Order: sequence, then C-alpha cells, then structure tokens
Amino acid sequence: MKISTIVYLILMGILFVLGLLLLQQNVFGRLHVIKDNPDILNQSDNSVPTELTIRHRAWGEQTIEDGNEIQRITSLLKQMKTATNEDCTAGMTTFTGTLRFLNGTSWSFSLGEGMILNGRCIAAQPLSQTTMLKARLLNAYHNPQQLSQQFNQAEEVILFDAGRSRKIDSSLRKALEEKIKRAEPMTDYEEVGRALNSSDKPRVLQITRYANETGKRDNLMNITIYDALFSVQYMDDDNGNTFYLKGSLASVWKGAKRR
Amino acid sequence: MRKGILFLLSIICIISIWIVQNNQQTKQGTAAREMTPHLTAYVSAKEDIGRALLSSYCEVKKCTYEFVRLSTEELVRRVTQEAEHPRADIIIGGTWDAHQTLKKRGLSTPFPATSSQEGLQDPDRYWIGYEVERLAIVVNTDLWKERIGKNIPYPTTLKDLTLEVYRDELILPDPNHSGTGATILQAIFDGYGTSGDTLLRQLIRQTRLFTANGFAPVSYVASGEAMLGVNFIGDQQSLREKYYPIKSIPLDTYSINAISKLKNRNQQGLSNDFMRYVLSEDGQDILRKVSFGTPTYAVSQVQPIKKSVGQDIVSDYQDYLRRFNLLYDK
Repeated sequence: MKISTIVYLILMGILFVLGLLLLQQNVFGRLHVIKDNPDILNQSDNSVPTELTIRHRAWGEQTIEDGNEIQRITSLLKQMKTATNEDCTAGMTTFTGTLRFLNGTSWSFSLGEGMILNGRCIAAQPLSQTTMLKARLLNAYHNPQQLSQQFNQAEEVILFDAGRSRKIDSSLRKALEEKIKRAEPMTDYEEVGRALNSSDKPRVLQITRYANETGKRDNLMNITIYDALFSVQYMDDDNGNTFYLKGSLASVWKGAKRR
Repeated sequence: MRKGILFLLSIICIISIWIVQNNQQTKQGTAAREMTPHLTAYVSAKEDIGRALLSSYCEVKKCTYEFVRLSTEELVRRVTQEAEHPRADIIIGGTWDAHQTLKKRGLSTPFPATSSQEGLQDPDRYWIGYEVERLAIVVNTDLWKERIGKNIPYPTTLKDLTLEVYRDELILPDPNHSGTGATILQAIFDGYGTSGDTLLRQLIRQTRLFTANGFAPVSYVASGEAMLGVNFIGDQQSLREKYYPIKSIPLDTYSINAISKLKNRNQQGLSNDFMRYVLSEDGQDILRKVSFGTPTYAVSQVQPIKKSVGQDIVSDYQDYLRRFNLLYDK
C-alpha cells in the first residue's frame, strides 16, 4: 500500500472521530424540546377514519360503512376544521354525527343552518361546504330499507291523487311500505327517462315525520309515484336532489278506481 | 482492472434492461386505461341533472364518468385554484356569468363551431347555453292568507318585497355562493340603476336567511318555514307539482345555464362530443324530464339575455358583489 493512501485513510479516520465528538456534544445527553403539540392535538388528522354514525332529527340514525364515502366526508370536515371561529346562534340541529378514527380518537359535529365541529362553531350560516356535507349525509338515507323504516315511522302520510288529497289508511300504508322495502335504487337514466314519459299526472305522497311540527323542512319528504318507479326528495336537501327507485308502488292501486 | 470494468458494465446493462421493461409495462397499463374514455365533471346544476346527462351519454359512448356537485361560486373558486392542474374536463350548469368568469380568467377553451344556439351562447363559443331560467318571487299561499290576508295582492317586483310587513319573512340565495343569488344582484343593479343600493340595503334588512344554494329558498317557502323567497321559476315549479301551496310571480330577469370545457385537459374530443349530446334531441329530452328550465332550442324571444351576451359583465358583477358585502356587513 502506498504511503499517500495510508495518510488519506488516517485523515479520514480523524475527520470521522471529530464528527462523532461533535455529534456527542451537540445532541446526546442534552434535553431537546420537540414542539409537536399541534400535531398531538390534531393526531386524528393523520389517522384513518373508520366509522361515521349520523342522526337526522326526523329520519333517524344511520351508520356510513362505505370507506370511500367516509373518506370524502372526512376530507370535507378537515377542510372545514380550519375555518375561523364564528358565533353560532342557538338554532335547530338537523344532523348530529360522530366520526371515529383508528387511533381511538373521534370528532363530533352538529349541522343545522350553521355548523359546530368538535364544540367549535365553524359556520354561523349556510356555506357551500355545509350544504355539500348535508347533501352527502342525506345520501346515506337513499336506500329502500331506510326509506321503508322512515315511511313506517312517519306520523302523517298524505296522498295527492288527481289534484285531491287525503290521509291514507293503514292497509294502503302497509302495502306501500312493503313495496318500498323491495324497491331497488336506479342509476340508469335511460330507464328513468322512459318511465317518466307516462302521460298521467303522477300520484304524490307527502310524508311528515312529526305531525305536530308543521312548517319544518327537515320534517318533510316527497314520494312521486310513476308506473314502474318512484322518486324521493327530502325537503331539507338544499340542492333539491331527487333519487329514483325501481318498484311499482302504483300497482297497489291496480284494479281500484283512481280516486 | 479489466474484470472490474466488465463487471460494472454488466450491472449497468441489467439495470437498463429492468428500467426499459418496467417502463413498457407502465405504458401498457396506461394504454389499457386510456382505452375507456373517462369524463370528469364539475356540476353546478342539481345532482340528478348531472348524473342523468353523464350516465345517459356514457351509456351510449361506453365511457366512464365522475362528477362533483358544487355551488356556482364555489365551482368558480375551485376551478381557479386548480388553474395549473385542472381536475375536471367539463363544467355542467351554473349561470352564464360564472362561465364568462372562467373565460375571462383563461380557464376554459372554446367548443368547435358545430352548435347553433345563436344568441344563447358565448360569441367565441367558450360556453354554450343549454337551458334558460327565469327569476320569480315565490309565495307560500297558506301563510300569506294567515299572516297578510286573503284579498291582499301578492308582491310583483323586488321593490314590493321591501315592505316592513315582510321583515324576516324572506329567504334569498347568497350571491357569494350561488349563481341564482348573483342573478338577483344583477336584477337589482341593472333594473333599478342608481337606486339599486337603497333597494339592496332594504332587501338585506328584510331577509331572514341567505342560503348557499339557489334551490333552498323555495324549499323553505314550500314547507312553510318562510313566506317569501326569490329564485328560479323552474325550482319553484318542481315543488308546485308536488302540491305544495306556493305561487310563482315571474320577474323580468332571465339567465342561461351553460356548459363549458376546461383548458389543459386531455379529453377535449370527448367533451366536445358530450356538449353536442346535451344539445341534441336525446339530451334535451332528458333535461326536459329531470330539470325544470326551458331548453334553449325552445326559447324564441329572450331579448334581455341576448342583448347582454358577450358583454363584459364580469367586472360589473365583481362590483355588485363588493357592494352587497359592504351593505351586508353594515
């Protein structure tokens, strides 16, 4: 081995030892304070959301199990979480909800015209995000089982048929409930379009959850009955969305004269 | 020494082969994905209108789609934020002033000259109108009888809504979020000229709630949660058909709901084709069933809109919004 190589190796060794000594003096044996309190406070931000339970004032409790949907709602809540403090007036709450994370933490929220998230008012009046959140939460109720349960629990169901209205009797109500339970969600709008072509004016059911609470949007739901399908609209959906279900509610009147 | 170099060269060769192979597999995967065309949309119309148009189009064209529903102003904000890396191919719905804003900010790109919407599209074809909507006052007739009186005439103008007796009975859409709200601002400032500020101040005082969405006022009025509201007549019609006790009093303000196409996206051809579908007989047939606006082909005389299409309304609108926020904060 050449002398220059030996000198080079010795020099590198000395530099290495000096580096170690420097590290020892600056890092080891000293107290370091890591400012991670915001991270700890927001630790659920980095955890995986696992379950979302929501409760609509009129239409009951629902657990959202679709992981993608939970993720979308969580992203929306995370965006809203950064909003500045507002001053929420005491108004009626339509939705309450709890979002649970894998690390055991949870967020709670209540949503009416304004919104409170984890005890903090983040919207004093309707915003695009609160409207979007409400529509997403209402989506969770768009299934036949949930709908038949709501239909069963409603205190008043009024049928509008050929311009006249009447409360429906219990046997008709039972028959309709059975049909709703067996309905299937529709996404093929070609089929929806064909079904909506019927020339007859459709029958409409106005469903009121609490009969003594008139004049409350979140207490009302509409079902419009076409020949082979029906559409459902929650009145407190600010977007005015309608969802369609395949099932012939109209068949319960088959043979009977149109009243 | 030579052995070492040979060893090094063979290692480099193996790594190069691996990289090329890996790249080919990626390309094949990408090609497979690209075979099924995919359309991403931001929808400012009702969710079911977006779903109905996209699903029926993709059913025929064998494409896949996804969409997000946003209020008009939120949509403009999001598209502006995403200017460098746009995430949507196409914008469905929203009032034409929003589409004009996208054009002015250089975010959209023109459609080819194949449509014949004449006055109801941007002269440079940056947006195409697919339906026309008209503003109207909506009154809950049951509440009116109870609180105002059976024989008292309904308000017929925005100015009529400023009577003290209607205080806290009015629901309006917030122009900071809603295209319908923006159209109401235009009706106030364009229709009332120099007294627009006074009228707006009085309307703000009367209003119990500003909603983030254009549809919401009629749902408050129809359900009996409020007596008066202002929004588009098509939304009112949809609830009148469900036997809610409401009456519409049309105002002389119209707006166009439009489609535009975003820049720097790779589905330009598919987006053009989708626009043609929306304006086709099939597309308009679907719109007629799920929306309550008037399809543009059926509109013969809407002079107020035709006159202003192409004018620079965006800077006017920014000024209107600034004046609204100033008066609202007071």
